[in-house]
Amino acid sequence: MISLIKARPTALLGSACVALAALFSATPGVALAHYTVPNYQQKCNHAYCFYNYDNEGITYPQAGTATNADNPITTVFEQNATAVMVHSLFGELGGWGSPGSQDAEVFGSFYDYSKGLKTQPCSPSNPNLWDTHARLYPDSTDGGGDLYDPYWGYFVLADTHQDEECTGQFGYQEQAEGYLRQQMGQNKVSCFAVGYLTKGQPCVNGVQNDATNFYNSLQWPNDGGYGNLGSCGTNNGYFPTNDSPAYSHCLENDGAATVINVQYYSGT
Amino acid sequence: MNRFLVGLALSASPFLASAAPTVVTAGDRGGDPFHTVYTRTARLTVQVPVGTAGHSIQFSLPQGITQGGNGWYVVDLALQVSFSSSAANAAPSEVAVLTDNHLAAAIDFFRDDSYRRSGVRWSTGELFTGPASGFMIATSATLHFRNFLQVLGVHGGKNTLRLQLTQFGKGIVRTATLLPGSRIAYSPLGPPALRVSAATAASRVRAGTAISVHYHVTDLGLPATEVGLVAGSSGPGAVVEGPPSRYLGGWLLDNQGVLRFQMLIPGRYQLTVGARGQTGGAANATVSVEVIPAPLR
Repeated sequence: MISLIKARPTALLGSACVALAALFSATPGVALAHYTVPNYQQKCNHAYCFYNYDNEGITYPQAGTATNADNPITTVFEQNATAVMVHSLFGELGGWGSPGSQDAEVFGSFYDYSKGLKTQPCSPSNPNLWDTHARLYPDSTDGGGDLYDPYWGYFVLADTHQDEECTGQFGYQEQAEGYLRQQMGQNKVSCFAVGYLTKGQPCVNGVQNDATNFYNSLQWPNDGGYGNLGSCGTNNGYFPTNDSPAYSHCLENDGAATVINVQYYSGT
Repeated sequence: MNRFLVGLALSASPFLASAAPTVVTAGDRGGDPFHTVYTRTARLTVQVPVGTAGHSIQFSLPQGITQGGNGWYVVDLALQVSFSSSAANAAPSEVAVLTDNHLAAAIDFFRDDSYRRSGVRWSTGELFTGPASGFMIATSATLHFRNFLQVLGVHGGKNTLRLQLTQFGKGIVRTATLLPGSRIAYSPLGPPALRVSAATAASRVRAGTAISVHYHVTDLGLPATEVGLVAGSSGPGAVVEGPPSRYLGGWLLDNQGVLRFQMLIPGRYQLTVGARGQTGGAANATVSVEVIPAPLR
């Protein structure tokens, strides 16, 4: 693995700084404090390569690896999807607007520090409240530039998962992807709805489930191996290498990403 | 990073809070490698509050062409943007140019109060230099922006180019003007696209020996930016000599050289040579080497 990293701009008149980092992926199968995800690999379009998971707790110039991967990338916003536009779409939905507290980085040719958008905070009076969470790469608040590809257009990548904020449990990536898909198809952001958006605003022109294979199917082997969905109820929820209830979860992802087509509303 | 936008940010500094536009000269562009297809000869302006729908103009391309078919079409823009000085106008604005309703240029502007003086942060991305952002203190700016059109944004015959200003609340941009001289151009070369090949003379060596891996990095498109090379091994028993990554250059078309690997422990190894740029994507090449035990002494 090679990574050419774009540093977070900090100078007063800063431009996008680039620096080369000596980065390697870890030897597959080596489990450190975190768990090792399966099939950690690059996905490439014409212009960029990126990893199919985001990473937790790494900063430039540290490498993203299978052992510090966090959640699978499950969603692509494409065609006219700049970071600020996608952020705006989430804002229209309501509830997604507040950033989470977690820092995550992604990957390959583009470092980002998205804290993500969450639907629910921790509620001590209502524990076991699972909070749907999406981290956007690039994130509009980072000001680090946009990703462009001649075939994908301006595009934004997102992981999706659910957190139980009070205890730190996480998982249910596929369910969260489905919830995001459902939300992005609703009237508030749909290009086909009337009366919700004004002309020229960003809108969702189409939502395609499992449109592109990201090879990041995920389920803990206790349930019959990665990619066998539908049996999370039998998952004991513990990572083998970090068998603590604090990290209990249900890992599930079918490995194929949702593609969301972003356009400008052309109605009145 | 878009060098023209960087030029903009840097040259904006002497004009702190000046109402005069900051002009970027084309002095660093060198010879023009593109063939002009369409040139805009009049100004086209969108402004708040009527500008969110954008303004469109028509231009024609040869019948039967496709983006990336027998060449590539690029948009080469001169844009003038003016900003609100009111602190109330702090929301992001996006100045965009679309062909056939597909973004070819999107430049986001934000108010940034994190420094001693309020200013404007811009953020964009394109295929000539990659993602970019910067900061300036100015009330207006003139900038150049160049990018390849989207594949879905090009077709033969009549095409529509739209200048659009999108406000995400009370946006910071007041007006955006497409200046005369903005054009659609044709390039026989496409976006940067890196390729790597690797070879070694020895596919079977004894433990404790070193081998040479010859690599060749080429770029099939326009020069890739900020290209680096990295060497890796499938196991700890094969180790590259020296730094595992090397910087190959800011603008790269072709590079070749030799990497040395110490083959230490018996086994079969995949030695990988990869290249990646800020533009140009990424490419890898792998050679397989078997290491057999060294003879007993």
